[in-house]
Amino acid sequence: MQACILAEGPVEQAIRTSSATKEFPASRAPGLIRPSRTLAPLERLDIYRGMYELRLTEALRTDYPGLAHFLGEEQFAELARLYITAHPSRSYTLNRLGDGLPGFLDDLEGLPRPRLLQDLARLELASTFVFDEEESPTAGPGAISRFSYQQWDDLRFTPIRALRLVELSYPAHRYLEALRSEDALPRLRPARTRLVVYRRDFHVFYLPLSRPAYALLQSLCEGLTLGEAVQAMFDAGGTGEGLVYEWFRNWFTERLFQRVYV
Amino acid sequence: MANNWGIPDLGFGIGLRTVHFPHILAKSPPVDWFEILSENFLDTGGRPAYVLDQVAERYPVVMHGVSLSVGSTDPIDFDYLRKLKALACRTRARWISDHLCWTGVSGVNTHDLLPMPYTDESLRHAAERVRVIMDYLERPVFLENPSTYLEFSESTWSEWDFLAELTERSGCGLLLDVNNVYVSAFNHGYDAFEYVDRIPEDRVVQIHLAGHTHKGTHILDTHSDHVVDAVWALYRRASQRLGNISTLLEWDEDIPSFDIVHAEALKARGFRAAPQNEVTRATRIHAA
Ligand SMILES: [Fe+2]
Repeated sequence: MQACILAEGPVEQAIRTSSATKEFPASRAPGLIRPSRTLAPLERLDIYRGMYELRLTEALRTDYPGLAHFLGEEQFAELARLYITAHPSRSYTLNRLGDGLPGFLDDLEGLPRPRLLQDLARLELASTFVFDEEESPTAGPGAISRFSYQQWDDLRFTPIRALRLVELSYPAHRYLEALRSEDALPRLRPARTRLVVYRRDFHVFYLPLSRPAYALLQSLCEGLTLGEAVQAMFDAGGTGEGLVYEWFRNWFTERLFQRVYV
Repeated sequence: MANNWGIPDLGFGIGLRTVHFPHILAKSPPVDWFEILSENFLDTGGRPAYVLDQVAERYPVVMHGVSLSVGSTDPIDFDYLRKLKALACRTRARWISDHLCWTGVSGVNTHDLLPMPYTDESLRHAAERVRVIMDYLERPVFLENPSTYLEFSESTWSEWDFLAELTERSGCGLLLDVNNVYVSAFNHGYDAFEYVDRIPEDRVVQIHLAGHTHKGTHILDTHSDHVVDAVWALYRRASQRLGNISTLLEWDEDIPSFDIVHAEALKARGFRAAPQNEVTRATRIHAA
């Protein structure tokens, strides 16, 4: 029965797929199900098939509203159908059903504006992780001032769990933000975009970062000390120290760290 | 009629749904209890977890899941059970329920409540799994009669007798969804009242009510509308047989405002403890 539910195409075709005939020969399929007063056996089976596709498509649409909006109802449903066939759910939770979708898009041919679609998908996937992560304690700017200036080079920063860094070819966050606030949707042009995706007060936010700021935050998230992270940033052609203070002020205001320690 | 576990009547509850979170947090409406869909809270630590903690502080909570898959031939998912147990502890859940169904085999999850063949073999199989599950959870599990859209030719048991025997063999209890009884009775052409009359009365601790979608040739259990009169009549019959039992209204599609959902749940009050002759009249009227 499951093989018939998962198979594509009309039900008469589904019972003939190789996976379905492993369960029972196609000729026996109708006999396994009782007819009702109004429906033949295969019509009854088809009810489950229709609901399966709808349910899983809906779950994907919940996690990828931007992608769904961009593609439109029909194209998204077609994409969902292809994806679900290639990646049926293997978990009790639908929350992680779409984890493979950005990778799936990478390999799919014939998409309109593929780089932008991939960026939207990657950003939306990051958003679902940030949405679901455990809540962390947060550290305020006072967390640094506890340490003497001489210790600053050795400071390490633990980011909150609900944080991801994403590098994109388009400012896809602008599309998602406009969709969320029901503003006019921007026409996006390619532009290297570096974002920290994070959750504050149970809302998911996108903060664009300059290249050096992104590099610095990434180094800190990887566990480097402040001294090492700043040095790495300067080595890569970084920026003035004044800006670094500014970034940290902003990052603490946005509560991106849970802990500062030596 | 007291149930086997001495579980009290919690009154009239509704399903906790995301669209109602702001209303519930802001107003603390006077709802008797909430039922949560367990899977919606197992792997999330953000807002859903926060809201659930708030709700569990203020209201009795019952957990209703869709992944025990007691009819499946796949190994039992102990990772899922571990999380379920932890969530029950966190919410001080009064009880845990799921469905008489299977959700997938060969590691795949269809996320549907698929129908089981009702045979001696499937009964033995399900009873054994339910025993293992209850052992692990260290508490009884209550299984709901599903809405189904097909029946297997090889079935030799009626669904109600199958459920009754399953409770005997495994020690589990029942969640009687009277809308599901109605939906399946229509889809398979059996008598919904006979179903309600035959369910073991000391095993039921909860009743579900919901709306459905009539497609002409069959009925879909969509939880998308008000409860129809015929289902209220079944509820009245069940209340008469089983006594006052915790009653929960499910509304999952086209969800209206909190107040409308709550008012629909409270309608159930009027169908409890009705005189016998009224039930007969309702039965006649709605049998048409
Ligand atoms: Fe139900």
